[in-house]
Amino acid sequence: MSTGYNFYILIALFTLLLFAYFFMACIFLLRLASFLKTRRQEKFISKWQDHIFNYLYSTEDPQNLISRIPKSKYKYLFSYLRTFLFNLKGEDLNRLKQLITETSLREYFFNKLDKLSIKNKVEASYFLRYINTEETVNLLVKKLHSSNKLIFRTTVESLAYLNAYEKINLIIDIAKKRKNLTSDSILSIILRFDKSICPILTERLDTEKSAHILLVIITVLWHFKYAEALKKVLSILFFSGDKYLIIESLRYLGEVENLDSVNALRFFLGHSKPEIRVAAIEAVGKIGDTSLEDYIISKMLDPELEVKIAAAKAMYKCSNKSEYRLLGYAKNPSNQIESIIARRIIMEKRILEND
Amino acid sequence: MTNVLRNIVQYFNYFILLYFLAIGSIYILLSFLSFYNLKRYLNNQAFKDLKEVFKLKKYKSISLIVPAYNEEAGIYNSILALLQLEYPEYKIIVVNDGSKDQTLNILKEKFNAVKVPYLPFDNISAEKVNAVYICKNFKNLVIVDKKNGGKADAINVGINISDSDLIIVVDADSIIERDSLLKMSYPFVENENVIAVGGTVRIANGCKINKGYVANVDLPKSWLAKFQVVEYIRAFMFGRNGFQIMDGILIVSGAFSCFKRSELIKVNGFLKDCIGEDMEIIVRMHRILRKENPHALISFIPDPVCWTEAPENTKILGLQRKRWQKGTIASLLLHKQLFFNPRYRLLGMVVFPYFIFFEMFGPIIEAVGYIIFFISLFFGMVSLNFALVLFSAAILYGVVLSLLSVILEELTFRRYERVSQLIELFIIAIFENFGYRQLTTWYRFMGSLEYFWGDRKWGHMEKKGFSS
Repeated sequence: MSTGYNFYILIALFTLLLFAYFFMACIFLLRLASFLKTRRQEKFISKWQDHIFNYLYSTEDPQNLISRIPKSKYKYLFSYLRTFLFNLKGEDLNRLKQLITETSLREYFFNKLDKLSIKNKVEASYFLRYINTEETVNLLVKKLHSSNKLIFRTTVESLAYLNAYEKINLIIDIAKKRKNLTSDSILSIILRFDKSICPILTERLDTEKSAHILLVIITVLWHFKYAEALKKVLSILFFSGDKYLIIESLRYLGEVENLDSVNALRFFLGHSKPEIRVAAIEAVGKIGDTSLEDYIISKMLDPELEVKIAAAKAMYKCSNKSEYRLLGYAKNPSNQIESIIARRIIMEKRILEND
Repeated sequence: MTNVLRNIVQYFNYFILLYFLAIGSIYILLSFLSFYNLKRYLNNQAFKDLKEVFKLKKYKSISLIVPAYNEEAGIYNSILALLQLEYPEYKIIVVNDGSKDQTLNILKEKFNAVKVPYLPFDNISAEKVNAVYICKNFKNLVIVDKKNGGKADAINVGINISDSDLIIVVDADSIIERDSLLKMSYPFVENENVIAVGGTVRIANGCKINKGYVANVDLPKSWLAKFQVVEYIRAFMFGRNGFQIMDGILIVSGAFSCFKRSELIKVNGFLKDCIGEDMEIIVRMHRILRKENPHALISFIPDPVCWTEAPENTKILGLQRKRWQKGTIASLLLHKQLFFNPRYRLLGMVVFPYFIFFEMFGPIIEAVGYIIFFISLFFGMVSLNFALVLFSAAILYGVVLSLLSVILEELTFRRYERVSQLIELFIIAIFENFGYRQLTTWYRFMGSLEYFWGDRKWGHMEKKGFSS
């Protein structure tokens, strides 16, 4: 190799060694930075913990406490507050919330919401959930349009915490437009609201065209056992061709346990798709309506194994008559599969119930 | 003739140099991608409370499948620990794969098991089930006894028995973090295209284990295990994280992985008698399911979720690495249709070819390269300069990469908290490149040779087990 190569070799060796030293230095600096941060945090807690607790159990003006804490220490304050805001309840929680709602922190978070950094926006929208005013709701609503999924999620969670249920239609409309939000994802956000969203969602059932959103709405109604939507869910059940929507609607019928559902359930017990038959049987099992027990008993002879199992489980719950028939299957070895299923379900239930 | 030979040797040495530079550069690129992915993941986690999410009724039900073969020493404690995981609804299905020891009797006695009829769900064909037991003390524990058929077969039986949305496969001797089910199932909630999720596995040797959990993270005493600590950090931090950005996770750890049950049934479960069943299932899922849904995704959780025992002697390490290498080759060859296949986008065009060139042929190229290099150095066929260049590319580049993985660990999870541990990690990261890396390359090379010669056996793996 020529001298030119030698030079490059030396440069390469030197650079790699330099990188190795640089990385080692980086790791030590990172560790040092983290150590100092932890120490500052511990120092902050040891200094301010008593002040915060004294404040909680006194009538001290919250602004008085906040104005004593330097702005540079806010990040420690917020991580400290977050734990307590999450765990405290009742009067203690209200008093703690006042540190945000009735102090300069309120403006601080309002301003932070408009900062460029995603981290700032997320933090602000997280803490704004403790300031229950129209102004906060309006500010948060603006952030719903953010292209960042994290900001959107935190904002919706804050709106849910504030129970801004009147914004639910807007949230769903925006969620529908976002490609990266799945049904489960939308659902896990919307379920943060309380039952007050149910009437609005029920109304939306009339106009909503997307099967994906209808599925989400019916799951929410199922979650809250909102029986007032029964008629609308029944109409969706009969007019929808979407398998998942039908299954979710049947689950809803089982959950609200209303005898008006019986005709619909009878119809779907004979559906061509086994998953739908299973959902219908489970719903009947939940309602425990004896008028359908003969249908359920007949499902023990369904060609699909999962339908037979669902039928056996429902028979065990439904009535004495169907339980007796189930015992009959268990004792009759001529119907081998049905007998195995019946014995398994009876044994399982008895063992677990006696526990 | 001598000149021709000399030229061949020299060109081969240049090729080896190029190979080391290429693999090092790929790792550097992967480290940047990983850094981006980790940052995104941690930002996402900052204001997310998983427990709150799963308090809602709409969670995915999980079945943990624990294949067990001759696990009498640790099975009771392992299952007890698994029964205490944090999740709203999960079932544990322990599949005794025809153990020759007391595994089944221990399970039956300790958990008060009662035999129930077996519901003959045969979504996936598998060996005969002898008996199914449910437990009086633990409603969510099912014990299955079956004829021996191997790990893949035991998992398939578990899949048949389960009726949950998600299947998690756990090795009986793995230690699972309490919140790992919450973490592993969340990607399925967030994105319905997710079909499988892999988690980060760490080395448990040296850690203090209390009641089946890692109570105190520490480095192992044995140097061989120490090297594996850095090796695992690098593999999971760089490899999996980096490939995740390209939707190109081609392997999830067999010790702890999560799947959508419906998708596992679609691909007919795990492949029986396949030496690397954990990699094969992932490659097959990509191949089959991405035809149906091009957005089907295999995701990766960078959080440490599972701890496993690393071999502390070279004999076991050798067996393990040979098995891994044979598994990799088998999985890649079985699904060679993915190679430079544009239908699979980055997976087909970048990740799969990377695995073919650097994971399948890599050990052969490296091992032969080392041999030829030393022979040519001995016979004076290469200059000292070239030796230095190769040293830089093979060793120094490796040191830099190992240190980079320690940086990523420091920036993210920082599980080794003491400064003394950090210094030790440095030392390990440096010395790992002098001997240990070459040793594993050698084992992988031997594994490749054995595979191509037709020896495709599992080999018996001895484990010491964890003492609490």
